[in-house]
Amino acid sequence: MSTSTEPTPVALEVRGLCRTFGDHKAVDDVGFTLPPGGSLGIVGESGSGKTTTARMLVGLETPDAGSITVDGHERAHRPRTRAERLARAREIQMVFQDPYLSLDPRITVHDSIDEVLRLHAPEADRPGRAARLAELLDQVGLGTREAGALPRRLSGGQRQRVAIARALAASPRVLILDEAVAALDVSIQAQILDLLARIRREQGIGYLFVSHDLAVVRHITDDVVVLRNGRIVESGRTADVLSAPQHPYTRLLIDSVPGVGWDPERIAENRRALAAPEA
Amino acid sequence: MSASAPASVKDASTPTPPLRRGAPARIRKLAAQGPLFTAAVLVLVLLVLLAVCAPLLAPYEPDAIDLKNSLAGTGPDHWLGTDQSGRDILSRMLYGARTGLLGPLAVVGVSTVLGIAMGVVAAWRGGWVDSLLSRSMDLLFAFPAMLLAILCVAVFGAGLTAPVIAMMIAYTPYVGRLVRSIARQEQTRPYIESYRVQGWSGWSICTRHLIPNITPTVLAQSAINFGYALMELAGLSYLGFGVQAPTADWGVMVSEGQNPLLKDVMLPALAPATAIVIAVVAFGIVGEGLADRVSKRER
Amino acid sequence: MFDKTTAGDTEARPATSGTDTAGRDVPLLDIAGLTLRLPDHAAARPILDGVDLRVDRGETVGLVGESGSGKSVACRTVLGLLPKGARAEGTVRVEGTDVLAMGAAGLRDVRRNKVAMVFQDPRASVNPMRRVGDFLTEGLRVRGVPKEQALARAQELLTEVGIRDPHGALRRFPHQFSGGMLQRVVIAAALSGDPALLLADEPTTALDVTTQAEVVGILRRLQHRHGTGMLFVTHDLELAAAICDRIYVMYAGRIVESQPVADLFARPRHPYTAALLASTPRLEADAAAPQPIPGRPVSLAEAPPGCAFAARCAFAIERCRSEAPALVSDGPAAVACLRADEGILQ
Ligand SMILES: Nc1ncnc2c1ncn2[C@@H]1O[C@H](COP(=O)(O)OP(=O)(O)OP(=O)(O)O)[C@@H](O)[C@H]1O
Ligand SMILES: Nc1ncnc2c1ncn2[C@@H]1O[C@H](COP(=O)(O)OP(=O)(O)OP(=O)(O)O)[C@@H](O)[C@H]1O
Ligand SMILES: [Mg+2]
Ligand SMILES: [Mg+2]
Repeated sequence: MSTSTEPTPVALEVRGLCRTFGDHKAVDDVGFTLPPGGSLGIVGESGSGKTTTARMLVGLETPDAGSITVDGHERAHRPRTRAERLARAREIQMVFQDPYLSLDPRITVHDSIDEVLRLHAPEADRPGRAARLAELLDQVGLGTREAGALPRRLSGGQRQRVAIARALAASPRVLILDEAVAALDVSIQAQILDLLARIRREQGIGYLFVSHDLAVVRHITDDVVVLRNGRIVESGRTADVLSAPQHPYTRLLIDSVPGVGWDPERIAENRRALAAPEA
Repeated sequence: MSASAPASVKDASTPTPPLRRGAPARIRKLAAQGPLFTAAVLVLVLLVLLAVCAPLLAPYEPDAIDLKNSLAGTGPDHWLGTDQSGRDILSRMLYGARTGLLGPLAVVGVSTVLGIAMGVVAAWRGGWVDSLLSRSMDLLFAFPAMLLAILCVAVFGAGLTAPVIAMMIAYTPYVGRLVRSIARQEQTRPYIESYRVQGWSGWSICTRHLIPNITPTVLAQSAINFGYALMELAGLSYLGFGVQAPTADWGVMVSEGQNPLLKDVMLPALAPATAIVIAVVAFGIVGEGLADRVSKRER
Repeated sequence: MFDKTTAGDTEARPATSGTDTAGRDVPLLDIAGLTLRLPDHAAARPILDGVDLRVDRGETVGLVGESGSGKSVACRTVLGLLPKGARAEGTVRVEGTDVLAMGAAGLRDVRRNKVAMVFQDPRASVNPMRRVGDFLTEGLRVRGVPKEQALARAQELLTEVGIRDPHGALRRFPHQFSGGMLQRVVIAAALSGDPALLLADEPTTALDVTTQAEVVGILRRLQHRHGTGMLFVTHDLELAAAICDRIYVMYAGRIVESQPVADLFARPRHPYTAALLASTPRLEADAAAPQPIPGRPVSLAEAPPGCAFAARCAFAIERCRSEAPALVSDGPAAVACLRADEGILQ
């Protein structure tokens, strides 16, 4: 996309991010960049620090060290004013893993999206908001019937669509999806992946796709970083990393995906072998 | 959504969920909690109605002394008989329900509001705010309610006000602790976190989402507290620290009914005592039932 | 394998099919014509509708289907746990005896000594307030094993599922374990009674891929060692393919297809199975993007008169919407699709 003379544009840049819980380094010197409209996967096993990284990016967790910039704006310190808080929210939004817990059970789909619009575009009048709301619902494939419903009346896939629509309502530059399709059935998961790919094509929004499912990551991301015990062990183009992994840990993750020739005993052995030298 | 629904035999295509449940559905839902729960709710509704309508229903003035008719038995003139001063027990019971419910209402209302405020602030702010609030709640908690009440009486003088203020102070840390622990849990739920990510202020998140969602659990506990407060206030009146004779109050009535007991006349003491027990048990059942419903919904 | 040509009806089979008197040929688990209905106001269609399923000794059988298709309900029925208010028809035989006709004592015996279950979420299936040691030994203690022996056995089991420091683990609380470690503990508890049948209800869905591989490895090793039959519920077709001998595919409470695993993947016969395969993301470099199945699964409130999948099926014709297909078996395979013989999927 970019010409060779100017530097590649960057939507999100993360450098030297660290977070320690007690004496456990959950995230250790993590850095990566995301071009505008790009899609970056963060993969790694459970406890590797994926969620902690994502939470630091959206400000739910405070980093011990490191910098996070979106379009050149640093966001390491806590927002002080309301305007700053809202500007932050328009930089990065997040969709959580569990669609059953990420919506207020008392608030209808319509209201939960409308309140975001009210917060972020208070100048818009009622018809303007209604139009934007209809557009968002349409984008994620929800009808008016679902719009009037409380979350408990919706399936997991429908709730996840609501969560996506709500995140998009703030028109963020970057959307973090933390295991956003992990709780869904494959047929619904494929619908959501399809939807995400379309939204990215149409809106040029950047994705940070957190997952331990490499098969999903392969289809939705351009680049990938592999986390292990809070550190990045490998990064590169998704296709390259998955077809020619350099680090044995990446190799292990790839082998772990069930498929032809899947051998759980060997995977367990490799995992132990990989863990042994450090212990 | 793209595929149209099949031509189904049941009502057209897909079930259309109602936006929000109406009142009749709510009542049916409540009834589904079991006959005991329904009965307890009915008892409480009846109790409130009787208290509210006491002036209309009471056949006599509650304080009308009629010494000629002292300790009359049950009969068409006095359904529950009369007490030592010849006052109609039924009328005194009805009026007694007013003070009996009003006191706990004030106690539970104020302690619930204060408790929610303290608990939510402690949980949300964390850090030194949490430590400060938690320690002060612990301190109050360690103070026996009765002792506090007697102290208050010493300061404010006997009457309904002093024990009620004491109970408010005593019950607040109780609610506050409960609220703090459930709010701490609730605020780590993704739906609350997603509001933070959206850029809402802590105040709007707490008042519009956190508190409404924990309120059902707190109300269940408050219903149980209501019963306890009623019992303790009656106890204080009985001991002479609370409502003063001759005001009609169940606790006072039990106390005044002690003398007739020596003469084998049961009703003057038995009637108010029974009312206290029924009310306390009913509040307990309703509270437990509500708590049950909340935990079922959580699943 | 299938002794009936059509299995769509909901009537119970004749009580004896001639083989059970011999004792040997009785399958470990034999579900026949199982229909489970909720009271009419609660659901428009049965939760389970004429389910036929069998598991032989030492065999691993997969049960695959979307959320809400009835997989967990089917598993729980084997333990005699029916949804509240549900009426059951058909038979669920464990080693020849019908669980649905059993009294409380019989059910207790089945749950203690014959069938064990592992659930999806290990955190939800253990009491967080009790030590792991108590959790592991309680099953043994009710069987009358003395405390010392039970503790020794619990340690042995923990070693078997690959927990380092089993002695220390007994004194810890569930929250001190990661999800993967806790699921191992749950598996150890399930195997403590040496069951003949293990019902594994999505035992690895809450775990990451590497941990999943380890847990499945443990399950398989123990299963081989003890000759346990396993019903493995999952919605991950690739996982089912990797470990199962045969697979049943379920949709809206019905078995729509069953085949030995290799055939199912090479030649799916039901459009739903084919669609499910196409919607699974694949890791291979040249794999196509996952194809979503349009629409959504049928809820309990809907009762389409014909094939339940017709509304989402690319091959549905008018007849599919009015006529419910019966499960027709053909050698080791069975499929419930009106157009199965037309070669639509080739
Ligand atoms: N609030 C916390 N307090 C203490 N430790 C924490 C906290 N949050 C995370 N951790 C620890 O940090 C490590 C990284 O956790 P994180 O949730 O980021 O992993 P993850 O890669 O997202 O794993 P998963 O795939 O299970 O979601 C883990 O060891 C976890 O136990
Ligand atoms: N106790 C119950 N009472 C009433 N309905 C129930 C009960 N348990 C399950 N159901 C309903 O039965 C249907 C099948 O549920 P089941 O849990 O078996 O699905 P599943 O295939 O295991 O799905 P998942 O993949 O989500 O675990 C669902 O529609 C569910 O709502
Ligand atoms: Mg995570
Ligand atoms: Mg299930």
